[in-house]
Amino acid sequence: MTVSQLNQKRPNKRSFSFKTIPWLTLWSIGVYAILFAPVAVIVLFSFNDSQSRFNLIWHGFTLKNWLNPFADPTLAQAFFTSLALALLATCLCILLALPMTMALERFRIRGASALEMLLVLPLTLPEVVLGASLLLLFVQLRLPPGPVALVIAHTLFCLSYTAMALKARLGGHDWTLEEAAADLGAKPSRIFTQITLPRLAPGLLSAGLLSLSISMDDYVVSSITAGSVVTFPLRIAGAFQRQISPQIHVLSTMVLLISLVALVLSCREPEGRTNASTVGTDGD
Amino acid sequence: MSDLSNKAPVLELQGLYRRFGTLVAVDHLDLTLYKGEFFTLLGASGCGKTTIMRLIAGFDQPNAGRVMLDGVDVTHLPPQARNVHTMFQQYALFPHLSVWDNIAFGPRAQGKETSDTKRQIGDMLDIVGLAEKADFKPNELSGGQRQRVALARALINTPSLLLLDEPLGALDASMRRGLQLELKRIQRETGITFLMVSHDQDEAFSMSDRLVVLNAGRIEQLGTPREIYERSNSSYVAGFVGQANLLPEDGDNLSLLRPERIRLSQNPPGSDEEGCQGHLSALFYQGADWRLELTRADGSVLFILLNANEAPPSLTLGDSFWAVWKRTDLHRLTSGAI
Amino acid sequence: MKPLRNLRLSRRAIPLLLVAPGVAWLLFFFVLPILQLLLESWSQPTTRFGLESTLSANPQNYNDAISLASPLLLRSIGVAGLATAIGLVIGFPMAWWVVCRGGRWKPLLTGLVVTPFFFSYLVRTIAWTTLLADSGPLMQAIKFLSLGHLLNTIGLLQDGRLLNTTTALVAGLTYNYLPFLVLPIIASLGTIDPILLEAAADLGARTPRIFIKVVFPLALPGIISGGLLTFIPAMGDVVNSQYLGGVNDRMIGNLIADLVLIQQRFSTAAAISMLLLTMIGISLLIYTRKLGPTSPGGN
Repeated sequence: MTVSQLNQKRPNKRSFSFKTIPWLTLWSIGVYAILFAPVAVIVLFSFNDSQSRFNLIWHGFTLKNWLNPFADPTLAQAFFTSLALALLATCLCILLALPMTMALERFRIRGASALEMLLVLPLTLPEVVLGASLLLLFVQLRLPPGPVALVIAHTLFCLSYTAMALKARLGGHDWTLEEAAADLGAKPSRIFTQITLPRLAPGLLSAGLLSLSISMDDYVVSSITAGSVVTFPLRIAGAFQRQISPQIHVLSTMVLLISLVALVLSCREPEGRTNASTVGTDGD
Repeated sequence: MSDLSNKAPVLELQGLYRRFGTLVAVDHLDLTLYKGEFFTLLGASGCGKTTIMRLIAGFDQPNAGRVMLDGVDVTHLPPQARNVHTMFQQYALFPHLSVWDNIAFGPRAQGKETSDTKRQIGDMLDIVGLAEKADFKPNELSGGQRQRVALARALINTPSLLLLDEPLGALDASMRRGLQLELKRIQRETGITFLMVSHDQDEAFSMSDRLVVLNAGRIEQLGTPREIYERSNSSYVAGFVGQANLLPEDGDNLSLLRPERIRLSQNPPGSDEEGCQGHLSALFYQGADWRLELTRADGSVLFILLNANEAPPSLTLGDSFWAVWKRTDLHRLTSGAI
Repeated sequence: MKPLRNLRLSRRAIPLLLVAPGVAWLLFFFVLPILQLLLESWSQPTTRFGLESTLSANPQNYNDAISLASPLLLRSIGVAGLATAIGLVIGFPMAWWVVCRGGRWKPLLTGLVVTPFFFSYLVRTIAWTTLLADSGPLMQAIKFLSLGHLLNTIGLLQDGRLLNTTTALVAGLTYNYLPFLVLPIIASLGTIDPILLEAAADLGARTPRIFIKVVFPLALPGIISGGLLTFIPAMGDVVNSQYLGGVNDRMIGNLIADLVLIQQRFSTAAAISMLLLTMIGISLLIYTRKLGPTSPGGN
C-alpha cells in the first residue's frame, strides 16, 4: 500500500505518511504483550489451585490463596519485615531529600551541580558493588549486618530516586504563593505546613511510593547487608529451590495493585499540558 | 494585471474540498496562479488558508477536487513527489545540521547533488546574505537569519511554487519591514511563484501582486491589493483589510467610505461632496496622523483618519465639525448587509 | 523554609542547613564506602580469612582480579551489550509508535511500559522461569511448530531447553531493563518537532532518508542514555544469571557477590569492583563529553 493510497483511504487521519506504517502497531502490541506476559503469569498463578510445593504448574482455579494471603507464616513475616523496612527507609529518605531538593530548586547554591551529580551517582553503581562497599563500611564500624545496616542501605539507594522524583516535581513549583504568604506575615513554619506541604503532597506521595516499591523490591543489596533478617525478596529467593507458594503471587499482585492505585491517584493532579503529538493542526 | 492570461498557469485548484468531521475547512475552491507572481491567501484564524497550503504541499489529501501543478494532477502524490517547497512558519530548520547542510538537504534527498550543487548553494547563500554563516547551527542564528536559511533551503531545488506559511509571523515588528522587501527582491530575482499565507493585511498588501481574502473556506474576493482595499465587494472584506465606514444607502445597500477619505470642516459640503455633522467623541494623536471618531446626532459613529497637515489647528473632544467626503470616494458594496 | 525573617539566621546559611543532612548521609554512606573500597583494593589481608588488612602498593589484588574476572567481565559486557542491542531493536519502533500514534493515550501508553515493573524483580524473573520452563508455553509452542531442532542448531536452545541457557539470560536482561531503554527514547522522540519530518518530506526526502538523516540523529541522545541505563545495570546484574542463565552463564556481579558473601575475599572483590567502576566511569565520561544533553546528535 503506498503512502498516497493510505491517505486517500483515511482522509481524516491527517498524520504524516510514514507514521502510519501498519506493522508498527502490531509490533508495539507484541512488545506490550511481552512486557505483560510475566504479570499475567503472576496474576494467573495467584489463582492456581497448586498441588505441589512449587506453584509453577497450573492445576485449576481457586480463590483460596487470595482468602489466605498470609497462610505461609514465614512468607508473611518476611512480607511485613519488608514493609516495615520500606516504610522506615522511605520516611528517612523524604526527611533527607525534601529539604535538599527544596534548597536546590529554591536557592542558588554553590556546587549545586556537583550535589546533583552526587545524588545521581549511586544509581550508576552496580547494586553488588554498592552492597559490597556498604558491607565493608559496616565491618569497619563494627556494625554487624542486620536491621540497622539494612535500613541504612535501603535509605541510601532510595534517596537518589526520591530526590530525583521530588526535584522533578519541585521544578514546576511556583514559589510566589509562599512569598505572598510571607508578605502577609505568616511565619515560616506556618507557610511550610499550610502552603508548601499541601501543594507538595502529590509529589511526596509519588516519590514515597517509588521509594517504597524500590525498597520492597531490593534483593541484591539486601542479600549482602541483611545478616539474619529475612526480607520478602530474600525469602522468595531462599525458598526458590524448595518451595514457591501461591501466596508469593498473591502478595506480589497486592503490592502491584496498591502501587498502581496510588500511582494513578498521585498522577491525577499535575496532568497538565496534553502533549499534542499529532501533526498538522490547522494553524491559521 | 491584464497580462496574466498570457502567462502559464503554475497552480490550479479545481473544486478543492476538505472537511474535518463536520467542519468544512475548504469549500469547493477554484483558484489559478500564474508563473512568477507573488500571491497571498489572506484570512483570519480558521479561514482554511493553512489547510489549503497543506493540500498543495501534499501533507493532506482533499475529500474532493484536484490540485494541478504545471498542468499535472498531483492531488494524490506524496510531498516528496511534488515540485513544491514550503517555508514553514517556525522555519523547521534541522537543528543538528549546519546552515550549509540544511540547504544541501533538498538536493541530496533528491539525489541531485552534483559538482554544481556546491556552487548553487554558495550562490544561494549570497542571495540571502548568509555566506559567512554556512557552518553555523540554526540555534546560533537570529530569527531573521533563520528565516533566510529556510528560504534558501526551500529555493535551492528551484520549485515551481514556493509556499510561505506566515513567513514573518515569528519575527518582531521592527524586523518585518526589511524582510518583506528582501523576500520580494528574492522572489523577483529567482522568478519563482510565491504563494504566501498570512493573516496580516499590511504584509499581504505590501508584498502581493494578487491576493484572495478567504472566509470560512471560501473566496470572498480576488484581486490586486488596491482593488481589494478600494473596491471591496463585501462588508466582510471591507472590514478585514482596514477600517471601514459603512454608510447605508437606499434600500439595504451599503457604501464603503475609507476613514482617510474624510476631511473635517466648519462648513457644509460643496456640490460634488457629501457630509454630515457631529461632535468629536474620541481623539488619538499618532504623530503622522490623527485618528478620530465623530458621533452624529443619531448616535452612529464615523471613523476618520486625518493627515497631520490637514488637521485643524485645534482639536478638542466635544468639538462640532462637518465630516466631508467626495461622492466619488464612496464605493457601493455589491453584497451583504453587516 | 525561606523567609526566616524572625529567626536570627543569616539568609545564606539556610540553604546550607537544608542541604547538610542529605549531603552528610551521602558522604558517609556512599562516598566514604567507595573510597574504602578503593583502599581495600590496594590492601593485603593480614590473615587468610580475616577482614583486617594493610595498605600496600602491591597490585596483587588486581592481578588476582584480572585472572579471576576477565572471562566473566568479557562475558558480562557481551551479554549486556547483546541485551541492550536487542532491547533497542524491540524498543525503538515501539517508542516511535507511542510518540507518533499515541495521541491523547500517550501518557497511558508510556505508563504501561513501566507498570509490570511494579512487580518484584525477583517475582517477575521467577515468572519467566514458568514461561520458559520445559513444560511452559514457549517450549510447547516450539515443540508444536517443530522448531526445536532448528533452534538447537543455531544455538538458541541448549540441549533442547530454553530455561537455564544464555538465550534465557539475555532475554531476561532485555526484558528487565526494557523500560530504562524505552522511556528515554520516548522522551527524545517526543522533543522532535513533527514539522521537521514534514520539512524533510517537502524537500523531497523519502521515508528511509528522513529516518536516517533527521529522526535518528535527533533521537540519538535518548538512544544513548537509554542504552547506558540498560547496559550499565545489566552488566552488573546478579539475578538473571542466577535464575535464567545456565551453569556457564555466571556474570561479574555473581562473582563479586560470591567473593564477598561466601569466600570473604574482600580485597579481590574490591579490585574487581574497581575495574567495573572504571569501565562504567569511562562509558559515562564518553557519554557526557561526546553526546552530552546539550549538543543533540552528531553530523
